[in-house]
Amino acid sequence: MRQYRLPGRVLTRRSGAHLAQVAAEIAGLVVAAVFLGYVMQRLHHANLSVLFLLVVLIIATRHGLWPSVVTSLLGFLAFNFFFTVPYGTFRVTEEGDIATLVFFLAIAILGGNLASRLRAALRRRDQALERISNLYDFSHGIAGAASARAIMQTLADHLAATLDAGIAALEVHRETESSLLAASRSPHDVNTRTLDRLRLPGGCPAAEARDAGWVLVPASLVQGSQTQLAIGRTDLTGEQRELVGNLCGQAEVALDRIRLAEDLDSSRREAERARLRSALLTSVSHDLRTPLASIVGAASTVQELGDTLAASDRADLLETVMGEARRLNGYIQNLLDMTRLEHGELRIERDWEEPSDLIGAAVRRATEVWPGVQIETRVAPDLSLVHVHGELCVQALHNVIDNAARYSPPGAPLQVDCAREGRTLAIRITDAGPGIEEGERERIFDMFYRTESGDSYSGGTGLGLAITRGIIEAHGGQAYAAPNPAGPGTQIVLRIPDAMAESEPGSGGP
Amino acid sequence: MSEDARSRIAIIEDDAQIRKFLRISLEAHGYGVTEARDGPGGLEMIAAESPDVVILDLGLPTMDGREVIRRLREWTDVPILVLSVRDAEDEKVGALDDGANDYVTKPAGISELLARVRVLLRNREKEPGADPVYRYGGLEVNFADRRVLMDRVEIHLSRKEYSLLALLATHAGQVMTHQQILRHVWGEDAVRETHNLRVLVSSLRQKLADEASRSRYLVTEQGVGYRLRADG
Repeated sequence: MRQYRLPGRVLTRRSGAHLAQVAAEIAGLVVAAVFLGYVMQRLHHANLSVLFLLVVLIIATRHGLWPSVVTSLLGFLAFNFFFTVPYGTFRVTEEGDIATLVFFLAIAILGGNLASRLRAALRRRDQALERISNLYDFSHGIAGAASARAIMQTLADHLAATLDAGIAALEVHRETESSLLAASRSPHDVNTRTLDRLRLPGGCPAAEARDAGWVLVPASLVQGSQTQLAIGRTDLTGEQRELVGNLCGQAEVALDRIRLAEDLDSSRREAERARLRSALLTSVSHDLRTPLASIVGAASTVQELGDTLAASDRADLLETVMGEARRLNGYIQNLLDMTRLEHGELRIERDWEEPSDLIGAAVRRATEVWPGVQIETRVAPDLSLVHVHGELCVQALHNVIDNAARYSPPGAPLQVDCAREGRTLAIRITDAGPGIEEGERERIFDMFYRTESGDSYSGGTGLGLAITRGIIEAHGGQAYAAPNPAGPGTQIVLRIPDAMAESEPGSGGP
Repeated sequence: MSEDARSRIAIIEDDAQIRKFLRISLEAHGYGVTEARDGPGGLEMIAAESPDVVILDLGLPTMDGREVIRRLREWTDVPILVLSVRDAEDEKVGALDDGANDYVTKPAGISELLARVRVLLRNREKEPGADPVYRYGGLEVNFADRRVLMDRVEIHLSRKEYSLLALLATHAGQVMTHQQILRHVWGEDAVRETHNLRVLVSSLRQKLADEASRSRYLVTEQGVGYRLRADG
């Protein structure tokens, strides 16, 4: 088990100043009692002893057992000296007085004892409550922390506030080599000067740290490596040290929780990756080889037959080479995009774009791949700018057009419409192809999904629409399929939220 | 074609197959071709041969293509045509802002590449005595008296619209990055205000009766900048 022990000098808990204060208090109260006794013209002994008992109880509840014993003795002597006959001496002549004095002493010591025990119990309860509420505050603070770094930051800040001192969490690599994990912030911020004093990065031995006003406490905050807390005061009490230990223990549990969650997450991602990899292999082996086969076939024909080929045939074959090569390039782009989307590496870098520009770029790209397909665009006039990642949106749009071109019958033009619909920019790509059954409409956005068509090679990787949806959703939009409202075929709808809908301060108005 | 015959083109590209097809087609079009397979070799070659255009691959071994551009720009303004892949959008823009003059995305057909080379050669030749007029399709920009005609009818542009059009027209056929345009039209402080640029382009297109989705004059280079079409 770990230990959280503070090295260093243990200070005596009651300093001299405190003792003097207790003594003064006792003396003051005893003198006051004597004075009161005189003023009241020598009260009856019974009342006087009660007066002194009161003093003893006050001291016992305020300062505990030993001061109350001292007070009892003092009270006994004062009573004896001032209020028993003969007055002004410690002698006692009346038997009744002796009994009163003895009873007083016995009751005073007993009462003082009880009162001081009560005081101690109350104090313990207060401390326990304080500790619990402190731990509660802390566990509340770290429950919301999403990362190991956040937990350590919370720990540092919380300890700093509790101990009223700067806190730095250090990772120890070797005897005199540590690096900073977290440091408390304002009002107990650990600034560069204090780090300098702790010789960070680098780290200094405990003795030197103490001389600089810091204590180093071992803690285990990072799995597999040694960590320390540096605390910016050397006069920690035992309770405070215990508290540091408890808080570190809690932080450790929270860190374990985060580690577990990360492990779980990564194993889930691992499984997904494995599935993707096998699907990818299928795709590469089948879909990438098919256009390659056409290229090799066409190119070798030209090479073999050379001049004996009719000019038109040669041009035709070379066109095949070009077209298939372009398509191959498109698939590779898709595979790259997909892997990046899967790994969360696709960064959305928004900029102001004109919708018609995006559509123009996507249509141009599609026309290169499908020179024979006619594309009609209808863009509503005066569309305001959208705040999107232009290149990715063009890719998303291109994939839909590419897909539509693949399934659309010759001679039937594709329709690309773009208009504002409510608070979104809606782009509708309509083809007059065979259409998609209602149950299949969602599935076409799944990775590696393809509708079965008569001839086995439709020429897609089954990635395009999945990428489109990934990109559009990353922009906070939607991508879905609907039937062609004007006849057979399919309409894919892309909705991109209005620039106004997202709060983007400082992006500059028109 | 006769002036092309004298033009010499330097290729810096590490892939032997690409060097081969570039050499064959460039020589077939009457250009002189020299080749290097990496950055240091390319720099030496350019210093020795002073070619008219440099075709530079960005993904080079040993020395990065952008480093080659920066070193070249220390002492020469020879036009540089960058070959890039589609994914490296930032690289492409960075290369242009470093001083490259245009780019072609790999894999590209030779006709596209030749068109870019021709534009660079022409823009380089006309530099000193600057052609006073840009003409393409129905569009005519007269730099001397700042007049813009569309199908022989004068169109009135705002100061900024003219500034943008004139910048693109003096570099006709060549891409201008967002940064270059913003700096030219609005000044050094405005290089992040792409929003204003989009609005300006949109209003210029309206006056030229040009559509972004089927542009006749002003072409958007997605994520890079704009290009004004030119014969070539």
